[in-house]
Amino acid sequence: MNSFLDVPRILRRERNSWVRLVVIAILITFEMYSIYILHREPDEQARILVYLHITLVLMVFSGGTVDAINTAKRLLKIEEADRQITDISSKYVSTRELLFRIDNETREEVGAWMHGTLQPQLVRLAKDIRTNKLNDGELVAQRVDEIAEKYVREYSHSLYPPALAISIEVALETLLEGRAELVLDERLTITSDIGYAIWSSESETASIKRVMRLHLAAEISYATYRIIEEAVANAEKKSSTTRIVVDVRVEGEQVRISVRDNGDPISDNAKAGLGLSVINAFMQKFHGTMTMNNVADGVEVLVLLPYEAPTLADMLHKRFQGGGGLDE
Amino acid sequence: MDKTHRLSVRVIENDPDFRELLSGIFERSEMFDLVGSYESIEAFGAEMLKHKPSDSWFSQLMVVDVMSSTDPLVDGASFMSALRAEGLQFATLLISSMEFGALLRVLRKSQAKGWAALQKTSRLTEQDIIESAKAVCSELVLS
Repeated sequence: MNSFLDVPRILRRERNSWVRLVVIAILITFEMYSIYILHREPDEQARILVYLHITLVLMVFSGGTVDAINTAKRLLKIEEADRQITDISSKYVSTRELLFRIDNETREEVGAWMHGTLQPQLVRLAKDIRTNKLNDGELVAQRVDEIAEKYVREYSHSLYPPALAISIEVALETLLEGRAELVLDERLTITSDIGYAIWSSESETASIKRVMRLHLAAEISYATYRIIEEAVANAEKKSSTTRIVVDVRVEGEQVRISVRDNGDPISDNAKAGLGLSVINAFMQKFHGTMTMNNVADGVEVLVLLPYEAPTLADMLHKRFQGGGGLDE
Repeated sequence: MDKTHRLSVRVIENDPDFRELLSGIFERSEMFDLVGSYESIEAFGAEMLKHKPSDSWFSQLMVVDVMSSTDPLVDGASFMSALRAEGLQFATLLISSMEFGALLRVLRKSQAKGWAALQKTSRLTEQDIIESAKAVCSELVLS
């Protein structure tokens, strides 16, 4: 059976139950009764009884105060956690909405292309074969090749440049061929060292010391490509442009992309075109910065993207670690 | 032709049909000796490490699909370039459905010779493959 000394413990344990209410009610009744006794019979025994009650009440309330403080702390933490959940949840919802929108737009675009471009080509081809316009196997093959190369390949490349799967260097060389000069950070080129002796430890020591290859995350690589694509197209729109120089380098924790042209300077009231709004969308996504300024010999679009700097070797070492990998 | 005078060739191609086609072409050829055929860069790498550092194991010609790695960080062209940077001497015939102009330019910055490329199209013939293989080997005076 519980004694009065157990009351604080009971109250803590039974925090949210009817037991707590009953105990508090009994205590209050007991206390009122004690005051009444003290008032009516102020003798030594009654005073001791009252002091004892007061002590018990203080114990109960001190326990309750600690409880109250702890509860308040818990509530504050819960409130903070709730705020964080709400925050994350709203970000999640907006990201999900964005992804949903992008997904829809992509489906719409691909669907329209399949329906409006690919299907008519195939239908025409089938019709020509049936009506014997194409009775030569070689001619049929030519038409199929034409569809594959002119339509399917071109479209798939516009969705995602396949050269990016090799490297940013190959992708930019492909993009800028005959359009702009490319100056690329040596650590992003194929002449840099991927950082492990593939063949033997002897060859590693024998090889010429080269700079280590940096790894660009796929999304930063894609953003870099698209930004340059838009900035170069923008520079080409000016009839006065005869030279474009693209310079990409990693500086500290940033990828620095500069696209300079020697065309007419921009006017103060120039409005952002579609190309610049595409660049701005990437800036928002990656929290980067973009400036477009008149410089001594033309115009420069300067973009800074955040960069985390693992070398390709770090990435490959992680991949191959413990897997009988190549970094021996 | 005496087999000892043939040029050794290894094929890395992730498309099984095309791998079979390429293997058949080099097996039939009197000029080449197919010594290995792999479904991925990783499968080739694992085999290579078993034999290191024996240069004699390595073939004179590598026929490699550019996108034949199971790892998105690795591609066939960069891998071959890294091997050559390690001091190995072999010719590489790259095969892919993408266009190669820029890729070859980039590869030649690192090693000037011994690179050739063929685009996978329906027009690609056995003769095209053998001729390209011969040409790229002759660039490195392997024939």
